[in-house]
Amino acid sequence: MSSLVRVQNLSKYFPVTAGLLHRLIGTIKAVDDVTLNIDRGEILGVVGESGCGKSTLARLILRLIEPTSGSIFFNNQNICQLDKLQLRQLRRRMQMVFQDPYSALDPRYSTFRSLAEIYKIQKVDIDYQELKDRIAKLLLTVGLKPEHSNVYPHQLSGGQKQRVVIARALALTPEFVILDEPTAALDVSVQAQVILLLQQLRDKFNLTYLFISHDLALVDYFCNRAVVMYLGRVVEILPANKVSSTPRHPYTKALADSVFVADPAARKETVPIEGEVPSPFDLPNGCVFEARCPYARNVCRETAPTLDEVGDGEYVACYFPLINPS
Amino acid sequence: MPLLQVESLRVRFKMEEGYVEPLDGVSFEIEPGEVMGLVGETGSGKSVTAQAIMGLLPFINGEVTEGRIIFMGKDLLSFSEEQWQKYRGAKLSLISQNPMTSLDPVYRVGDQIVEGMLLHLNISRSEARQQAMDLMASLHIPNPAGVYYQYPHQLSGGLKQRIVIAMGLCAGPNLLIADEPTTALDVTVQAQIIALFKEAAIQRGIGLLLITHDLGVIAQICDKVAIMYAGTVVEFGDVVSIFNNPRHFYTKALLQCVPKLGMQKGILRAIPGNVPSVQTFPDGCRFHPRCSGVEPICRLQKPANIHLENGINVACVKYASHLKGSA
Repeated sequence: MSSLVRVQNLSKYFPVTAGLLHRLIGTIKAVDDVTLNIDRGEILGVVGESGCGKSTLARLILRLIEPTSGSIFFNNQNICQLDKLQLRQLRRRMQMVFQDPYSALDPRYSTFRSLAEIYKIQKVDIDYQELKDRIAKLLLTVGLKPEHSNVYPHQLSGGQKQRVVIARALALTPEFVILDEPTAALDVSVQAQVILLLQQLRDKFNLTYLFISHDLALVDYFCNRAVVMYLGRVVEILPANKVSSTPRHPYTKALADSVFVADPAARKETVPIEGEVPSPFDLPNGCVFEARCPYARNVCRETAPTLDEVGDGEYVACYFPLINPS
Repeated sequence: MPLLQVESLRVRFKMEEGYVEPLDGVSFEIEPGEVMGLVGETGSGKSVTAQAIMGLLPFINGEVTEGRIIFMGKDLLSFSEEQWQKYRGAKLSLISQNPMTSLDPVYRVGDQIVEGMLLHLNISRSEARQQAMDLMASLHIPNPAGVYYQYPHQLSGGLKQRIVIAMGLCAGPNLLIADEPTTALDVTVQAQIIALFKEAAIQRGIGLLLITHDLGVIAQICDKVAIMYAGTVVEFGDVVSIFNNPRHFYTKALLQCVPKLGMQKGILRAIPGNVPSVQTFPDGCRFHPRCSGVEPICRLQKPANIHLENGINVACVKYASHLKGSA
């Protein structure tokens, strides 16, 4: 399988300034030296706790924000070198669904106008009748009715709003869609509807997804591979179904062990990991997870481990992985 | 005698366009030392139930029209405001949803714990301070003497939530109600806080009413669970029995909606339709428009709460034969 998206040594540092003269007092490494690839037709999950850089990574890949260093290839084309016009054309092929459908839609725009805006921005040359037909078809595709084109966001439920946001992302038949916690604001019964819809759409339009979530069980179910991030760095990339069964990185294991399964027979007797994610401000040189890691030794404090390939498409950044490479 | 007994509670709110009924038929019990989960989706009435128990319904437009709330043998609905002053925060206390907004940013966190103690316990400020530090230590707050003098913004999310729990426990309540206590926290911290709740309930022998939308949390620590849908408790009973053998169609469907770690692909199911809002609660059984086993009678008649032999209560006509058998 060929890669649709390739990310190489991508970093984004935010400067932290203080005082009247905005003196630089440090940097926050929101995304630090991330390398990964997304195969065509794959659903790649990105998991991690708040502040680990999941959403910054998504915005970087679409070049909604400029990287500090590193490069992003889409179809073997380095998108960091594109000018504004080229980038706009490329955006037709890569879209994003944002976390909160309540704030992703303009409250003063009807569904029709929200969707029509995409065609206008991208200067798609179609007449009004065709636009209407396309939007009606689009609404049917995401499980809404053509009548929904005349309603405003406040008249829609959370799940319906998210369907409109998904329709908007699909309007220009993209190849690649980033889903940034698409179900975090929804109830469980509606979450399942949206997940099933996304699965259906992927099969129908041959889409590639980058799926960002903090829900490990959802990533396990929905994704092919999972990228585990901690404080801006990728600590492990592994097949999604191995996250709970055979993780290599101690953080992946701690994360998987922290998930409560909806089954009283699977109760946990001990707390898997103590402490909290430290502030990302001026991190030490060593491994990012060192302070909370039960296996940390001196070498972990001195230099950060590199992300090494340990299997087919599997990577881990740890000196003492839980499973040794076979 | 149960610690808290809620019986067919019905609450209505007066709105400009008429009355709405966020609760209709809420019944459950909590024994001392027991952890009970109240689970439901948005708008199912979980928080209104907590407000009704605490006597905190908005007095301008909210009222309990039917039902009873019995706490330690006393009828809470008949309480005067003076009686409430002695009970609320002392015998029963509430931890509300977001730890970031439950703390006053301009007071030291320790003083916020002491405030409740001075109000309800007959002790001096220095005694209260000592007790607060002991309480903080028992909740595994590192360096309580130092944290005591810090302000909320200096603490992490998990520590703030521990302080809020300390505030809830400060006067030694018999019942603690926690409304979505871990929703704002990361999973690894959630695991720590949930373990803390269990420990606190067991050590102190208090009843804990845990309100959440997370079935994983319920399965992890609760002894009993009440499943709410659109203002009604549709199923109530022992958590193992309900998770292994759900009786109500909503409970069955809800459990199939939740992805589990290591779950086989292709078996996730969704419930069709949307969660109704309080203005649009349907007649009859409130779940009937989304129910896979709906019968004509479900559209017309609200199902009675049926007691099954093993302590399970279910509100569904499919079990009506049990009603006749027991009568």
